[in-house]
Amino acid sequence: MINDPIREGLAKGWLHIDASQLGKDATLEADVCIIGTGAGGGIAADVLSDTGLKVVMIEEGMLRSSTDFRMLESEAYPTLYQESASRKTADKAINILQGRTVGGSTTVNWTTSFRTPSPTLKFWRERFGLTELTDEHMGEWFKLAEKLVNITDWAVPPNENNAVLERGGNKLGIKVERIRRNVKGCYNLGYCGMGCPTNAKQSMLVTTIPAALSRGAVLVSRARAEKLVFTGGRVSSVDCVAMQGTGYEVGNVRVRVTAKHFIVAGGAINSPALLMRSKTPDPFGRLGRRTFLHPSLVSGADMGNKVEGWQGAPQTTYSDHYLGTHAIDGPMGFKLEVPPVHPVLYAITVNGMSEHHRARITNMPNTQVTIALCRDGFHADSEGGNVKLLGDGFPQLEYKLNGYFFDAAKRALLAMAEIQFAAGAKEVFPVDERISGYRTWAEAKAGLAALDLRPLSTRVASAHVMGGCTMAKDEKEGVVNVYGRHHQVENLSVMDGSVFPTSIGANPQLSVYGLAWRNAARLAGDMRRG
Amino acid sequence: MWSRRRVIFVGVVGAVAAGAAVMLPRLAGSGGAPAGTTVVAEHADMLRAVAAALLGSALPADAEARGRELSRVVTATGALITNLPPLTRKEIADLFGLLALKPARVLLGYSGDWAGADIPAVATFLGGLRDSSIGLKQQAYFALHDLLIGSFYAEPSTWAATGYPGPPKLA
Repeated sequence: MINDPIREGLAKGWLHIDASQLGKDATLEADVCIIGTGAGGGIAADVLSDTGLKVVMIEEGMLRSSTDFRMLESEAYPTLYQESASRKTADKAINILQGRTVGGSTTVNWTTSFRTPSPTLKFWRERFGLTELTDEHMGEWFKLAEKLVNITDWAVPPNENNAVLERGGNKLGIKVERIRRNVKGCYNLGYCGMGCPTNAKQSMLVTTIPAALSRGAVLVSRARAEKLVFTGGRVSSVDCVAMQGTGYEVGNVRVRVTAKHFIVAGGAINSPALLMRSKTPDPFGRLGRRTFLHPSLVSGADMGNKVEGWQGAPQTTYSDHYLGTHAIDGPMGFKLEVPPVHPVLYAITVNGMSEHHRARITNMPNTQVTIALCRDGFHADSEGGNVKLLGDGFPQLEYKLNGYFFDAAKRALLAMAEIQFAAGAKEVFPVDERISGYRTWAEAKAGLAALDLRPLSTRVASAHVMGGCTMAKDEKEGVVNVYGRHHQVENLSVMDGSVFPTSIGANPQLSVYGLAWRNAARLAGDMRRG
Repeated sequence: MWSRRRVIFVGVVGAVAAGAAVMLPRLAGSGGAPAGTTVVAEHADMLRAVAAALLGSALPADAEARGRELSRVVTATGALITNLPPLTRKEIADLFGLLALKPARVLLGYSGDWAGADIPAVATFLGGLRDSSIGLKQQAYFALHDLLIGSFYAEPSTWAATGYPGPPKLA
């Protein structure tokens, strides 16, 4: 029998309000109101409640926990992901996987843990004046976060899906390394993306949020923060609407939270959208700009024997080789990783229809999949996307895939094919509607060279949304300062991936944890001093 | 209802005729978005024909079993749409509404009816959408593809043929 720490905590009297069940309007009062319960909001709730501050957390998604996590895509995507895991850019060319539940994306991520790479921090110091963010300085905060969520070397051998990347890389002299993971007592099941059923993943759901709740913090789930209310240049309250059902219907019941300080941590699409809906001062037009995605290419391979990419820790090997072949501000680099292979996500990702599609699906057990995450935001031709509000105030990301991106995409598809063939692939199929598959590396090289990659036809996905409330020393260049404090509004902070001024160039969870911890600790000190 | 469809019709025919890569049309201020169950019920024939073309031999050969499976996919698609944001639901409803209008779908590349549709002809139509250089057409293809194929493979009874054993049992 697996314990469910959330249900146990609720039984002990944790203060949780499911706003969808409220019969009438509610008003709450706090020292700090945190909007969003993902990587940034979770850490902030823990750090601030630990100093004795009264914290209220607002979350649009549902409170779900290990008992609910039945390892089914049909249940996980609609209940745990933004827009049922089908959130898309405005032109529909990029599918975005992002969490929408208590714990945010940390509840559904694949446990991949990297510190912010040194070249990224260096670029931020030089380009955005974030001079304090050195490796040494941030290293102390990463250490704290690594201890909290148990980020450690993963001693279990990689599953075959990941082993292919390692084998192929080794054959070609391309360095492939092992990924550290935030797990404790992991069963090595492979279903991290559907919510960990054993609570092994040390997400915000089972670490910081329980810690804050056990100190008397209040969690309001199924409440959408519609807008911040300003009084005399300060935020006086946040107006929320109760959600209905399991999806996106809103009810008539409203929840209002007043607080001394407000922390926006709704993720890099919803955070800028909340500030936009609230008409937050934005004198230099920086809000919702520079949104980055690590736009990712996908390459499948028929290995001719069992891979079974659905089982075993989903991401355990990676290569940064192609992040180092050019200068960081030169042609775009990419990181190679391996995703889990489950029927729904695989069926909608692989190309073709009818018999071609069926042949791919029925060969799923022998299929290896590699992904290339492109490091966007470091070049003049990689300014990222813009968050816009639709007519009903719902956000949408406009992100144009341009020639600069497709140059990297071409190199990435070539690199993945070469590695997959080196590892023994019988056939490699870079995912583009016009590619039916290549039998040899020579064929892949010639075929890809002749193809003009383009949006929609070439499959591009993202699981990392960053930017939109960028931090910069100069208020002309960013929305918040190096401590996540809003440049124009004194009692407003942003603590999530939206503060990153470029993409990270690695899976971002630990970058969010470390920076949020640092900034929440600073805020606690500021509030103590009044 | 008619006037709403008319607006879609005019908007999209104009865009398609101009060969422009445009967004799926959206109607300003036309009230709440429909529930997924309503949307799929109105367009069940179209969805069954498109699903049959997309899924091919993934569907059972036996006519009765095949019909049941298509009904299941349509119902599951409705549930999926219900959990999407209102404007996305409306976009999908607009796309389905467009495909229901013969003059519009002729322009998109399919001149047949949906009830009793010739499935190879539908497959050719879908291939045309997919391979088009017009963004609107490609978006239409991927919307249908993801909704229907995703709904099909979400169902555990479809897994055996794919070699996927389903999630492990926890003690």
